[in-house]
Amino acid sequence: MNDCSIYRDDLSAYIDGELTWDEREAIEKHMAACPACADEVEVLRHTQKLCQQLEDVNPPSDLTSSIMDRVRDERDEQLKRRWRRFYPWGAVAAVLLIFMVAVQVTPVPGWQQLTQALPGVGSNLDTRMWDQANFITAPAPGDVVSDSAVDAPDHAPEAPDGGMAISGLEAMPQDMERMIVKTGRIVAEVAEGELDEIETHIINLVEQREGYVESSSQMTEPSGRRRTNMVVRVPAEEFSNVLYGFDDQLSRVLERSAAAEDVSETYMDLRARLRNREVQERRLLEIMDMAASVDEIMQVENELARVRSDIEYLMARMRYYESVVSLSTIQMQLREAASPIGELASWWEDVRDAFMSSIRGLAVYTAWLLPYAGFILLLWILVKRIRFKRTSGSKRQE
Amino acid sequence: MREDVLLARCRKGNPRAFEELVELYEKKVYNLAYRMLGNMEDARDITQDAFIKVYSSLSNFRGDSSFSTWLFKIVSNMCLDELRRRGRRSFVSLDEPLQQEDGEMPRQMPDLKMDLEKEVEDRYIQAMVHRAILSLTADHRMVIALRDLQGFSYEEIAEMMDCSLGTVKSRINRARLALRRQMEEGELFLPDDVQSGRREGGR
Repeated sequence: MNDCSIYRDDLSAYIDGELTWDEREAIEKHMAACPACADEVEVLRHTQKLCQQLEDVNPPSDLTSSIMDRVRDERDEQLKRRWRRFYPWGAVAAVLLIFMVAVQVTPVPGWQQLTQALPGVGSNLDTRMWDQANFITAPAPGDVVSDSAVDAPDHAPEAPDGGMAISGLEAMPQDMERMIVKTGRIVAEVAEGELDEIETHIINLVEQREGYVESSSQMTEPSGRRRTNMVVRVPAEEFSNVLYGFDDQLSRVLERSAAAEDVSETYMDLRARLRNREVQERRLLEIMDMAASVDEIMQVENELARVRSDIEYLMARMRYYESVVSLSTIQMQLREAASPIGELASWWEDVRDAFMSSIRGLAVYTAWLLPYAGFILLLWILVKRIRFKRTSGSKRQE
Repeated sequence: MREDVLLARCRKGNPRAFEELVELYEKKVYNLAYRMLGNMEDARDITQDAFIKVYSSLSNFRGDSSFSTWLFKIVSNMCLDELRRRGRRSFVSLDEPLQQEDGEMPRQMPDLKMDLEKEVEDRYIQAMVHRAILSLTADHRMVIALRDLQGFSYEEIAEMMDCSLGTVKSRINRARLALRRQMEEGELFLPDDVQSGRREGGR
């Protein structure tokens, strides 16, 4: 019986052929000696046979379809779950996007400052307008000329003869009307290839009106368009005739301006100072005649020379004003209208510029967003924690 | 090989592939559940639930074991859970018509041909065995169903039931002995086969 208890648990495995060769041999040897165990094997075999007689039942015919229905439901549920998992992030992203768009569209003061603080940032349009504004407010070449004349009186023509000074003096009383300096400016487009022709036309017009071309320069833009900058001087009474005189030659006038500056007061002041100096000079000449010693003569001559140079300076200034009053300055900028190829090139430049400024803007924007990243991270952790609580809660309910 | 391809397609979320998989296994799953739970309604529910679980956790199946082992592990756990939920009260199937007829049928038709007689007798025996299996404990019922009805190897059963090979061996042996005792009560053993006194005395 002791032997039997060793083998008893293995008897089923023996029937099922789940024993090793050695185990099998040992059991067969034991059964030969132990009829009880041999009987038990028979009993187990019989039991097994009865079980195996059980026929499989057929599942209901609609089992597959009902399973598949539920599988499809489950799949929908999974999609919903996935959506539920991601929609807070979708919402955050949407809010962020709206925010970004709003920032781009509305002029937030801080944003403006930011774009101005960093060079090259801001939309292409902004920089364009900026350029143009600079151009408009830039000092006109004519002004530069006048400035240099004022600043450098010493370089004024030397050795003026007395006759001229007298003529200046004599002209003055007649000149009691207002002294007006007229300046004009015109920016225009001309048809392609007609630039030279129009330039010649303008020069003829100016000379015909007894004016002259003060400066002229031509250049070619990267896009292939040519342009001419000219400064012409014409008699004041011809100012309007010249400024509006060649409109029929232009394909488009982009900008035209005229300005008048009253310099009467300055001129009067100069004239008064000149008179004083001339009186002084006359007196010095009288003293000179009365001079006795060489020493005295030398002193008076020195004084006379100083007064003379003042007179010359004042007269030069007055002549300058007379000149700008009698000859108005007109600044012209003419450029060829864009040819299709030039237009394409400039279009391409626009695209490139827009792209570059967009990249720069993006970089700045990323930097600008950085502080928000911390906030978003915090939000993320919060959402994660809430969701974790929710899911673990629902699991506990299950 | 075929199964690998099917599984790969199922993982990609192809419902048609999963349907093939269901068709391939549903009969075995349904029968196991039927023998475990004893009635067709529950068998149907468990089969459905098991396949839904397989579908939703297919991504967790890594192929460490064969698919059928993994599938039947899920099914058997669900059956055991169901039995546990029912508690200890025994449950006898009501949708097995032969059980209600009992053993009267053969005697009422003595003139039937031999094979008909045999068929009726077979049915009677089957009903008795079915009932005997259902009277076993859940673990015993499980090993009998997996081994003698589904024909799984001891190793596969060990994997499905999360126990050692030795446990499976002794559990199957005890389950068969217990089943035999149940069948003795149902007079499925001839007197000379039974030897119940000696066997029980030996215990």
